[in-house]
Amino acid sequence: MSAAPVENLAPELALEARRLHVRHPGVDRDVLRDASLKVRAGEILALVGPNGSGKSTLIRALGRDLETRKGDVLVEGDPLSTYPRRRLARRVARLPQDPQTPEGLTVEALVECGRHPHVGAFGRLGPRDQAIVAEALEAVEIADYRTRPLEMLSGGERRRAWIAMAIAQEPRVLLLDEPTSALDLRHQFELLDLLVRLNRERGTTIVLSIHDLEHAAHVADRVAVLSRGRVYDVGPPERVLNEETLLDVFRVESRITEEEGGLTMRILGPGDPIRNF
Amino acid sequence: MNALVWQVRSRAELLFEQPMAWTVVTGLALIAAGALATAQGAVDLSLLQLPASILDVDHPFHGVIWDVRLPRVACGALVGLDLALAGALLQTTVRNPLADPGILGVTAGAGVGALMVILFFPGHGEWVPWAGFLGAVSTIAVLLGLAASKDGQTGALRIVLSGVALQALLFALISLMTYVYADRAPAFTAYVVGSLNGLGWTDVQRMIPPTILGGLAVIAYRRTLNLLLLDDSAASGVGVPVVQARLGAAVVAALLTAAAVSAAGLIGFVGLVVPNAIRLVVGPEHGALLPATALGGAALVIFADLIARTALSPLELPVGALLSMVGGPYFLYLLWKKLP
Amino acid sequence: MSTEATPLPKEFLNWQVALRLFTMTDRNGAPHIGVVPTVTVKRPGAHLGVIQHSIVCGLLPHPRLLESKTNEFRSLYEENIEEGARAVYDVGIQYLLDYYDSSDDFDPGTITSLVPEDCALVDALKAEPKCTLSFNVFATEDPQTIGAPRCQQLDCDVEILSEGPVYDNVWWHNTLFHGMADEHVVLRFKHQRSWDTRFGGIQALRG
Repeated sequence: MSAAPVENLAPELALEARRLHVRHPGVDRDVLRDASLKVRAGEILALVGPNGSGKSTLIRALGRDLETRKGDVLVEGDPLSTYPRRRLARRVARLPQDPQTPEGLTVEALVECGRHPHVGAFGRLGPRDQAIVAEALEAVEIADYRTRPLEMLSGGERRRAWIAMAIAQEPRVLLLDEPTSALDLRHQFELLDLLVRLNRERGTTIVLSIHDLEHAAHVADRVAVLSRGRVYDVGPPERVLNEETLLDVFRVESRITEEEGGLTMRILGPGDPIRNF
Repeated sequence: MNALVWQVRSRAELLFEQPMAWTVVTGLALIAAGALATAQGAVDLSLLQLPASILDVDHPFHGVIWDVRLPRVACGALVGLDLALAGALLQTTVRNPLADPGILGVTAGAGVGALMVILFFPGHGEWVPWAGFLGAVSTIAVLLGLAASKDGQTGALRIVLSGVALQALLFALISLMTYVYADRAPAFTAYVVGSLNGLGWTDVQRMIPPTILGGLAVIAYRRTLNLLLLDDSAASGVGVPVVQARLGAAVVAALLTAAAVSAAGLIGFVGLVVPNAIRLVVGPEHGALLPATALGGAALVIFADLIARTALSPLELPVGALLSMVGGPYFLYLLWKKLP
Repeated sequence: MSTEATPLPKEFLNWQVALRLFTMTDRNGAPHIGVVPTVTVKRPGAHLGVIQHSIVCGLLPHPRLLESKTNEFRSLYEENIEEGARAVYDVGIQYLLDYYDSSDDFDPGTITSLVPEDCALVDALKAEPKCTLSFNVFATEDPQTIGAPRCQQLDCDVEILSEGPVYDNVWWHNTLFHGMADEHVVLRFKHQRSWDTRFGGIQALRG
């Protein structure tokens, strides 16, 4: 027997975007203009930025949900184009922003979909698959709802069901596009705590786009700020989320203080950018 | 409405632990319909006499039963099975419960293909299902091209309108052919409306290969079909080749439609009524939906043909007309519910 | 049509260079009103027969330096872009602190601007490639550095460029601070003559 493949060596960079130019089909202008980003294995990276800055587009491009016009995306060092569909799905799982749920589909059936990359079109769901599905449901704490149709769940619960499906893929990287949008405050915190737990317990690399800067600072190891289709700055939240950035990118005057456990931001009002960005 | 349905469903689940139970129910319905249909008709038998008439060669009605009734019932079963499955597949492909081979013009496309062989190659009856298949596949290709939208979710209105437009075009073509070849017309009128009249064992034989092919494909790919229920982005996120899968399902639907159309003509609405009704109680999961749909479709057509034959006895209505009378209002109801 | 440019008034050029250095040191690159002239172009059918637009304008390096400056802009961008756009911007500012040193380093007769391809100004210029640039600075925060209030009017012939060394220089300069622009063109204003008036007036006659 030959030696086992070297696949299991965890590379340093889970994902890398290199000089991406992306435009949406039918639109003339690039949404992402020469954006580059390195995602380190095992980290939680938050993408922030004003509307239209390209957060969603970048996350989707990283997950091959969008075509890139120019530039490369590398997954664990290899170009995206070399990944067959199911192999990619075993590495990277996506949670789209507003997934449409077909009527009548149960939570269990949805999470079982997450086993497809491992099981294939013809495979049966064996005991190990069933165990993983059950464990995913437990991890997001909706095991009690497993036979319930998705439309019977609240928004937050439904979001968690989709996350369970992503977990069932056993991915190394989780890409989440605005996972906290349209959730009330408590559920936003619960969801962020869930993501932190997934990261700490399983070592899953997590990339999420998020509107709330304080939440981003609270949950992320590094924050990438996007502005007008480019990555403005990337690094630890305390360094990146500063008053200058809020002025340049978000065009607000603010007072930011670093306290135990995070940053406190007070938005004072509209402001003039420092950099004519 | 949804809450009520869910209550019904949860109670049903208490009684029926597994969705497979519905397959049993529809299977029983099929057997009942088949027995009734074989027994009743221009020549009436009681159900008790049925086994004897089938098995005993000397029974006075043995000939009628074997040469006329049984093949007709068998054809009805296969037609219903094929059309119901085709409807379910099309609904999954276009992600819309308003899809059905009739509405989308696929049966008309199959009809054009079949008619071409009937008219121009009358000696080659065995080609009919395959010509029908070509016609159906071409129709689906045009339809998906017309109706596709950028986000992969085909809007209800768009798909229905595209289908209606195609159907009009194809029916015009059929009318033209019927008119030009009016000397062979009597056979066509029944064909266009859809009828099981005069079908024999050869027709059953011709329908079996495509039905088996389609059925096997459907069984093999049932898990992928479940995944197609998700939107394109989510499905491709778990590694499904979405475009190929949807096309594949559409092609199988075309195959099954062609099989049914080649024997019985342009029967419609089976593919609309049966999958939607079954989905209401079983849910969209294909492993449970498809068997019950297939059996239910078979039962429906057999039963409809029984009524068509006996309701206005001795006049025989074509079964297609009866199904349209039931299916048409149901389609309107679905349309009213689904459109904003 | 390719006319030669008449050299700009030396004093105007010195003023522009000093002003631009001031914007780098004191305003972090944000354009001062002194580098935002109004362009007036003839257009048949328009009110009073002309249209006017404000543009941000730049200076073109002297032909002997053009290619090397363009390459420097480009390498600054390429070397730093993966750190983020802010890093590129800051590095660009640092570079420009030395860039705006002496008016001898710049083309004596040209002013440039990068504008969208698809705008009324470009359409009007395509029909009539001549214009007047009006610089009006009525108040200054820092008379020591950038001098007294002044108005300057320059009549120019205009070239519209989508490629070439001049285009590349302006494009890369812009890319450093605003990211890669697509579907933009470079306007090259070639000075023909100037009408120079300043508050406190007599200097105008002093050539």
